[in-house]
Amino acid sequence: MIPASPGGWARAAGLALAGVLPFLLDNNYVFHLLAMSGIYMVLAMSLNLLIGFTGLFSLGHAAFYGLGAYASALLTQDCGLPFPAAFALSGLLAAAFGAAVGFPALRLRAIFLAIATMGLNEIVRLFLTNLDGLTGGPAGLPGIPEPDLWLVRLGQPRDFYVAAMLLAAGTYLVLANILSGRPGRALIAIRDDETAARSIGVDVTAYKVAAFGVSAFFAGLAGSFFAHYLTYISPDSFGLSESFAIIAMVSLGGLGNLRGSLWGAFLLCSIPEIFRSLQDFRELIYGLTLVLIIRVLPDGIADWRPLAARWRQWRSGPGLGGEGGGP
Amino acid sequence: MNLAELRGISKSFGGLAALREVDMAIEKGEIRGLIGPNGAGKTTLFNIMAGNYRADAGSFRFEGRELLDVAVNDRVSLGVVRTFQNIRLFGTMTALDNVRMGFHCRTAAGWLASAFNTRRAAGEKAWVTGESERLLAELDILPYRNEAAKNLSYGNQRRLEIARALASRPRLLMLDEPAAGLNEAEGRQLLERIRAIRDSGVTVLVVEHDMNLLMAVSDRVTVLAHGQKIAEGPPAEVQADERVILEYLGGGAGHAAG
Repeated sequence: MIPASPGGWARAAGLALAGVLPFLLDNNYVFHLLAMSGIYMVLAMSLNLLIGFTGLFSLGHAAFYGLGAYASALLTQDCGLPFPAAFALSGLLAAAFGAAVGFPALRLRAIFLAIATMGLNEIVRLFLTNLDGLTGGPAGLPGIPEPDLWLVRLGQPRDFYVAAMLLAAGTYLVLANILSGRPGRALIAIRDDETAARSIGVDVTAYKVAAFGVSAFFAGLAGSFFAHYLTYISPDSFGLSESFAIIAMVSLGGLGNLRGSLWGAFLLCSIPEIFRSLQDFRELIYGLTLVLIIRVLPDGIADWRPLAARWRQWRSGPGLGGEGGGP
Repeated sequence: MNLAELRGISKSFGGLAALREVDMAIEKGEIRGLIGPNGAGKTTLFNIMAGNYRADAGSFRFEGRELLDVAVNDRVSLGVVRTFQNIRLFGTMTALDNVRMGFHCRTAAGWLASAFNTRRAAGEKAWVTGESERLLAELDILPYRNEAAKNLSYGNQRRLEIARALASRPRLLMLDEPAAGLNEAEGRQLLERIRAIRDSGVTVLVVEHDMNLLMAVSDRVTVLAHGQKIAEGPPAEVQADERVILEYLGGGAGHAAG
């Protein structure tokens, strides 16, 4: 965790500077935006672990997110647990659910897994909507207590900004460590060639299930944080459109690019906010981003080479390139 | 002493019998060649030993342990490792990471230990990196350590696949047509390499189309035809065997199968 090179120190200094900047603006709205960015960073990174690094195309990430949010809300409201315990438990519950879902889902290949996880997302949302007694139904759960961390009590958007960034940084460090270590390499091996991975000793099923569990764990943590930040949750926040928004963030940053997910989440959180008049088109923006990225920059915004190649091809004259020529 | 013992291995695909009651015993420390005309069943037998196919009947004892019900990945930890005829590397990973993957079954760092990069996980990582570099150097591909595997030349990809397999510390190394696509010089190098691997204490099973290479490298050769074993013994003996000549050079029923 200590920067190893001068470049590392420069980056750390840059990060620290960027982190201090919002305090100079001291604007609650900016803090709110960044706190939400932090939550989405966690969601995007954890989804990237599945779809980018393991090659498991899950379209239902918001299910784990919502599960974590409701679990945390109910654990604090109905069971009277303190926030830290509810926070940890909601991560673990989401992880258990993720692993349980992952197990049968692993028998499905590519497109079928995508459809099954989409279905799962809808099922979870319908349960949240219809279990009125427990979840408050379509009206949602109001009055979720703000996080009490014994020493500090989070209340202002500024506090949540700091906490969300710490959560995102912690998630990044843990996932980066996993990915550069033995389990992460096994996941990438499974993505690259499942048969070869098995033939060199990787228990493919166990790793896929664990990847689902770890991914869901962080989504659950993000859900808990979200619930206690807004103090109100409803099923609408955890539908398919939310899953697609997270996928758009992962794609924008690049599949298999952990740091890219930070940028993807930040950009897709801020852009619709900057163009406030476009608020109603939020989902449209996500959809367009997804289509454009897949079409133009398949490796995300960090890798401009495909676009540069396209540009060169276009400059070298019409009629030569295959891509742009359709009817 | 026999390292591996196959008894009565049978396998059919639909109505087609690919293997019928095949026996084969591989001695510890030998290089065993496995040949046969196309469709003889050698690839099927190879895949059954590696665990990619399930045999219909028979037994496969390895160091006294029955392996037929053991999963592919668990066979690797027991020391049975294969390479692929059509090279299956982890394309987006660097050459170094490919070899590191070979150490997967010889290391233990789990999710939590890796997540927090514990002292033990970090120590293991450093050890794996050192050993992997040593293997890359041994196979003369150390300069490509940070190159993505898919960008390596064909010959170097073959070497990398062998390095990755050796990293898993095999007791029986199974090479599936290792000379496919290599030129003559590379073929000779491969022959030396296989001998060196055997001399380091690893038993080797080679399936190969290239008769010259196979006969030159093998201590003993097993010949399959029509899903049955038709000959077994030292290369000179097998080459003089009448049934083998018949199968390979044609004449009678053998011609149709060739």
